[in-house]
This record gives sequence, C-alpha cells and structure tokens, in this order.
Amino acid sequence: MKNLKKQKTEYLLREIGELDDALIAEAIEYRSKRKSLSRTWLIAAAVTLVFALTVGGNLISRLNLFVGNKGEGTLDREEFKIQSVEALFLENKSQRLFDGRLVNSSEELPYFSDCAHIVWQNIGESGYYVSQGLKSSEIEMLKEEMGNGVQTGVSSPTLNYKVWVLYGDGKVTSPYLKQTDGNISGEIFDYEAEIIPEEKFVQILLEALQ
Amino acid sequence: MEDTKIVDLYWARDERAIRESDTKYGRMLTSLSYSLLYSHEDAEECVNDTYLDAWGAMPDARPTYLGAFLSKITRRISIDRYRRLHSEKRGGIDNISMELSDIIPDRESSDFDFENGRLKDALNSFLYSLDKEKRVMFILRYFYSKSIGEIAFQMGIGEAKIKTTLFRTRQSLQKYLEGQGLL
Repeated sequence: MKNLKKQKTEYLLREIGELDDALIAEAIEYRSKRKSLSRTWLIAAAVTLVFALTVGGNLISRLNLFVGNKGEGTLDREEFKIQSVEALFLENKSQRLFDGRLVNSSEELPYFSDCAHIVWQNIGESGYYVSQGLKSSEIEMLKEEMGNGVQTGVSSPTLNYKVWVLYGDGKVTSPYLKQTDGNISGEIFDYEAEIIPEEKFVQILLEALQ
Repeated sequence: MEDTKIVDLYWARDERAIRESDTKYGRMLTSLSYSLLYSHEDAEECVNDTYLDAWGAMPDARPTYLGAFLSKITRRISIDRYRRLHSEKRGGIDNISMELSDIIPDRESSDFDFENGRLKDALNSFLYSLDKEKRVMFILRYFYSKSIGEIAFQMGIGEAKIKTTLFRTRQSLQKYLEGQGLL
C-alpha cells in the first residue's frame, strides 16, 4: 500500500507540473496588493522629501565649496553628501516607506534568486534587511544609474547604512561604488563609499522598493 | 524583450532566442531548479537542458506565456534528475512530496487515473475554482517549490496563515479529487 501511495504522490507531483500556463504565469506575476496600497501618495511624499533634502543640500554645499582644495567634482561637507540614500533609509525607519525582510546572517541572503533584491544594513546592527524582488525593468533602470555620482574624495564619508544590490545571479555590488569588476563580488562585503549616488538613483530606488 | 518576440526567434531558429530567454527568465528558472535540487551545479545544468528542450519544442509549440512554458520544462527536468541520481541529500522535492502525500488516502484503491490526463484537467478546474490568493499560494508551493518564508514574503502574508491555507487547500483538493472519482 505504501508503494501505491508513493506512486500516486509522485504522479500528482508531476501532474502539477502540467498545469495551465496561465495559472503558472499568474503566480509569477503576483505581487502583494498590500504593498501597492497608497502607492501614489507615498511616492509623492517621499519624492518631495528627497527633493527637499538634495536640492536643499546642494544649496548648502554651494555656499561652502572646496575647502581644502579638493577639486571639482568632490564635495567637502560629508554630512550632507550622504543624505540622499541615507535619508531614504533613515526616513524608512520612522515612516515605513517600504518593507524589508530581516535575516540574521549574510548566508541567508538570496544570492541566487529569480530576481534582484536590495539589501541594507543599519551600521551597528548585525542583521540585514532584504527588499521584495525587483522587476527586471526596475533593476535595468537602477543599473543605468549605478556608478554615477559625486566622488567622495580622499576620505570616505561615514555611513549609517550600508546598501548592496543582489542581482540574483550570484553577483553583488553597491551603489556607493564605481561599477568596475573589482567592486562586484559573489557575496555581501564591506566597503568604503567611493561615490555618492545621485538623486535620480534615489528616486528609482524608492519606487522599486515600494 | 516580449515573450512573443522571443518565441518568434525560436521559430526563426535564431540562436538569440536562447540568450533572450536566459536574460529574461534565467534567474527564475535557476531558482526553481535549485529549490528542487538544492545544488547550484545541477540547477545550472537543468536550466541549460531547458533551453535545449525549448529549442526542440519550437516550432510546433507557440506558448503564450513563455515563462510558464520554460518553468514547466525546468521543473520536469529537475524532478527527473533528482529521481535519476537517487541522491541521498534531501531536496525540495521531498518536502513538497510529503505535503502532497496528505492528499492521497491511505486506503488501498485502484481508482487512481494514471492515464488520459483526467487528473491534470481536474487540478486545473480545482485551482480555477479557488480565489486568486489561495491559487497563487498553491502554485508557488507545489509547482515552484518555494519555502513558506519565501511565499509569505512575496505575498505579504504571515507564515502561519500560509501554512493553514495550504493545509486547508490540500484537504479541499482531496475532497474534490475523491468527488471526481480520481482517488
């Protein structure tokens, strides 16, 4: 009897593999409706906040340019340079703009997955937050902006958050790094910021995370 | 690239079809195979075999949902590989098989319809009768072999609810199949 039950189970397992394509496609595309609620006003509020911080920050930096003669393209006021992505995650901590799944160790991260994920860590804490899976259009838009940004100069700013992009094919990088082969790894790694991502990247990131 | 355009490439015997399939669905297929086999190397081989199979299936086949079409091939190849290798390592297949065995009653019965596709039709009908949330949950678990945690995260639902819903769905499926004379 046990063998017959095992045979039937195996047959059921295989027949599930022959379900209608439409059913399987529906599951691929399914995203939680709860994450889509109030999307429009949340995006509007967050974009306004990011715009205020970056434009406001730019104005402050123009009033305090190049102390120490670091040259064009680098900025002197570290604390405002890191506001954009930092502000995003700081604001998220209080306002819950988007969700992240907490994992305790880097081994639990989805390095090989059917989609890309954003991972962030609050410096001083040991766990990692993992975003929902990104759509391929979202990761393509982020990729276009990755590596663009203002160089940090000789000394890297102190970050409150470390952020990585897991592409889902085993490759990992960070938006705070130039997109060279040496800055792409197979797992989470520590780094010093080489660039500060631009406002456009932050806007795309926020939309992708919600 | 849209699915229809990729399928057109297969039909035109243009090898870009494989590249485009991999770009669009490679990660998903690798994840599916890995969740069944728990081996990165085996998963990669199964995905490569998937593209070969798809190349052989088209023309003739012209799938509307290419992702679903490829997923079915990957799943079948992965299960075959797992059974063939008789691996002693526990794969994702064993976990979902254990749950699916709940649906099969313990009594001796020869009423199970092994041929002519009645079970497949019944499964499709049953799933279409469910609400979308339950249906997606079932497919993510028993087709894609996703863990409870992964399903909970993707669907934005707590793990306890996922487990309860899957349990009840399995019970409902058992009753449905018995009603159809298939168990």
